[in-house]
Amino acid sequence: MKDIKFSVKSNLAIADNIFRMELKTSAKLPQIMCGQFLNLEVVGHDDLILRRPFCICDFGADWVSVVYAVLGKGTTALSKLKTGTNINALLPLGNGFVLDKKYTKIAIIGGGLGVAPLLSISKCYLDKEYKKYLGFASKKSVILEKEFGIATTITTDDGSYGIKGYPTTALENDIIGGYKPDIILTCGSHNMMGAVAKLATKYNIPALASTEERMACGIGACLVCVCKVNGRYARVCADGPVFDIRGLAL
Amino acid sequence: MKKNTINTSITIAGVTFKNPIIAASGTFGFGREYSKLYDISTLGGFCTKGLTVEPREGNAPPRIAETYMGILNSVGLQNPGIDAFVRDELPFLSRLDTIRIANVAGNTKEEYIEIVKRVSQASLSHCEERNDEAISRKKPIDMIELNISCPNVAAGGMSFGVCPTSVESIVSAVRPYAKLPMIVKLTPNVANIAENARAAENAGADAISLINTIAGMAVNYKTRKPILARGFGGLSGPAVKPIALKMTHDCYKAVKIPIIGMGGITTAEDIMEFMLCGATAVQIGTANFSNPNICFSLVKDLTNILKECNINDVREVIGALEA
Ligand SMILES: Cc1cc2nc3c(=O)[nH]c(=O)nc-3n(C[C@H](O)[C@H](O)[C@H](O)COP(=O)(O)OP(=O)(O)OC[C@H]3O[C@@H](n4cnc5c(N)ncnc54)[C@H](O)[C@@H]3O)c2cc1C
Ligand SMILES: Cc1cc2nc3c(=O)[nH]c(=O)nc-3n(C[C@H](O)[C@H](O)[C@H](O)COP(=O)(O)O)c2cc1C
Ligand code: FES
Repeated sequence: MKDIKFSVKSNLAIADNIFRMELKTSAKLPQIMCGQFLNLEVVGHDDLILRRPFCICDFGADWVSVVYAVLGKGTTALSKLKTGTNINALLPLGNGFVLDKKYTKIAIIGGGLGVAPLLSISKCYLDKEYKKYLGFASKKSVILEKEFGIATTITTDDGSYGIKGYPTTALENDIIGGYKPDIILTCGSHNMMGAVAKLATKYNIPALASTEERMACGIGACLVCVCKVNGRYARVCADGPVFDIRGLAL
Repeated sequence: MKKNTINTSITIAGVTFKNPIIAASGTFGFGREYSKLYDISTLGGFCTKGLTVEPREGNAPPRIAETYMGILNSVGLQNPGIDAFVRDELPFLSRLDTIRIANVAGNTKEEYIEIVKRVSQASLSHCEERNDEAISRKKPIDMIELNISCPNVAAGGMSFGVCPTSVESIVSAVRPYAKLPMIVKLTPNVANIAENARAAENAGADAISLINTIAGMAVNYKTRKPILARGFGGLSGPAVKPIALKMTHDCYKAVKIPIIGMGGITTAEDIMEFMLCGATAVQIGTANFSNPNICFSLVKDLTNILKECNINDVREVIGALEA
């Protein structure tokens, strides 16, 4: 974990109201695990004093990328940053998707922006078999389809692209057809992860889910980002953001 | 050229700090997280998260809202309780070369007495148990900071820190049990903070610190609900700085014991301003969230600013505000 000075390499809209920002640095990046996040300084809006947490979507030796939705003041300011702007990010934070060796068949289910932290899983674990199910509201919100590559099923709620329906339904259909993943990895809306939790219980498949909560320090010191895990408060930033889905109140 | 050494050390109640920069309670955990980013022994000191006798769960999330140049928090006093603190944190604290201040709280007079007793005991007995020469004389906790902003259950939930009589009564009740120098942390949510400072001094406080957070609210007009689950929270960050400065100055005029000032400090200039208004040392809270290395950087920045101002000893600045 290190506070690193980056410069904006690119910052472009990739879908309706969704941007992808690539940050490069001359500093040495600490080792990053898929599912970890960073806490990004908001440059260009002096009234804001908190950083903004974003999943590390992809990374290389001297760069990281985040994919973000423009929602409020912070993300609006970020969406206006020009190439070359200096910006600090504390990273890598949280636990990420830590997988036991025994799992070989991995099912990935993402909803909307929740697909971002799932992209680099196959980069961190090369020797696994993946099936990916990505759900979006409609055609104009589909992101990262090309990057996810083969074995990817896209669903849209309104049927304007891919299969009409939810990604959980697509996975369940495959399970009924004989597919038995060793583990499910997921990130998405509360409702979608709730549906994943039900599937995991119904077919007795372990599942890990990446969660969100409002944050301040991002490193476990201030206790503002808690959520209930197995009935007790855990820090999303330091004990998570990835938790065993059975412990979450979904 | 003459080499200019600048003194940054200050002393409070017989305890010497390398520099006046102290990380504030609740923003710095028990020091472990920030020590992964930099050597926290470079700081003057730090305050632990508020400790209570029993473990506390804290408030429901969301616990934070961002406001203009500030944040509202409603963490509550989530902490593992004194037993877990002694077992899990004291060994780590004992290895640090900085002033460690245990921030403590309670909801009854008895709870305050108990926590102060237990923290004192834990710190002093930790030294005796160690035969190791190098650390045998080093206490893992150097001072106690009494957070008196908590609601007093026996008084219908009114804060212990709210009026001079209740301040005097709680501070004098715990004083005999505090075997370490005791700082009383004042709440700004009062009619006249200087009177409360005086009450704390009369009751035996060795120092006072201020300000704790200012009560506030944030609302989402679309959902027609407060943003914080608890409805309200405590404001901190640059937005509170002018209030905190005046309160520091008011208290400086009212008491002789040292003052630790805080509220919105982000830069070395801010530290100079608080010290001019009478602070012997300062605490840094919310700024740790904007820049995780801020306390570490401020140590250097303060030396530089003293150099620029031709000041050889930081103690010259304390209370040097001119009319
Ligand atoms: C671990 C983690 C990973 C995340 N990854 C991504 C990602 O990859 N892409 C993406 O678009 N978003 C992600 N988010 C959510 C993102 O942090 C928020 O959308 C963003 O902070 C909103 O900032 P704002 O100033 O535009 O919104 P505002 O509503 O103006 O922000 C006000 C405050 O609330 C906080 N906040 C608002 N919404 C959220 C939220 N959903 N989660 C946490 N804090 C919030 C902000 O950080 C800020 O402190 C992630 C959140 C967490 C906790
Ligand atoms: C998240 C958070 C938690 C806090 N927890 C405590 C606490 O447990 N005990 C306490 O005395 N003060 C607590 N405080 C108050 C700070 O120590 C400090 O008094 C206040 O934030 C003002 O300083 P600042 O503007 O530099 O943050 C907390 C503040 C924040 C932001
Ligand atoms: S954001 Fe501070 S503990 Fe998680």
